[in-house]
Amino acid sequence: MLQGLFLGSLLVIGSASVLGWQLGDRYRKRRQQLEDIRLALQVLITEIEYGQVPLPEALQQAAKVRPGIGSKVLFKTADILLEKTGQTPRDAWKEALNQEATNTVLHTEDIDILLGLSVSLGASNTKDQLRYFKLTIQRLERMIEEASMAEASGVRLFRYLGVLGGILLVLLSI
Amino acid sequence: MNLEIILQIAGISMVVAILHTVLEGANKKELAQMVVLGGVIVVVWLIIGLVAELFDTVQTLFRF
Repeated sequence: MLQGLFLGSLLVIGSASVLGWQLGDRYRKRRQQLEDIRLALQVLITEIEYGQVPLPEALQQAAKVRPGIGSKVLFKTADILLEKTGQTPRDAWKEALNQEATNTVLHTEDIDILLGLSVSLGASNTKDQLRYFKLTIQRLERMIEEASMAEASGVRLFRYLGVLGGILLVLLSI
Repeated sequence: MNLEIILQIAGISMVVAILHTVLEGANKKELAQMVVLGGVIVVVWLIIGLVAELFDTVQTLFRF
C-alpha cells in the first residue's frame, strides 16, 4: 500500500518534471533556431554578393553550411524553384517558410520578419536585395537578443515549476 | 488529532513558498501572488472541516 503510494508519487513528480523540462527547452530551441536562420541568411548574402550564381544554386550552397532549420528553409525554397512550376522566388520563399515553420518553436513575429524578406527576393537588383537581407538580419539579431533574455529566466522557471507542480499535485491528492 | 493534515498543510506551504520565490525571481509578480492566493484557498478549504468540528464540540460542551 505504502510502496504503491510512494511509486505513484514518484511517477507524478517525475512526469511533471519532464513536462517542465520540455516546456523550458522551447526557449533554448527558439534561440538556436533563430541563430540557425541568421547564419543561413549570412551565408546566402555572401553567396549572392560574391558567388554571382543563380538563386536556386546560391540557396543550395548556403543551405549546406550547417544543418538546421535555416538550411531546411533554403533547401525547400531551392527545391520549389527547381521544380519550375512557374513560382516566383517570392512565392517559393513564402511556401517553404510556411511549410517548415510548423516544425519549429518560432513565434509569429519571428516568422513575420522572415516573410518580410519575400518582398525583395529575386524581385530587384542585387544591391537592393542585399539591403533587405541585412535589414532582416538586424531584426533577427534583436529577436535573438530578446530570446536569450527570455531563455535566461524561462528555462529555470519552467524546470522549477514542473518539479514543484508535481510535488503540489502529490500533496493535494494524498 | 489528525497528524496527516498538519503535515499536508506544511508541505503545501513549503512548496508554495518556494514557488513564490521562484516566480518573483523570474519577474512574474502577479503569478506569484496568484499562487500564494491559491495556496491559502486550498489550505483554508482543508481546515474548514476541522473548524466546523471545533464549533460542534464547543456547542455540545455548553449545551446542558
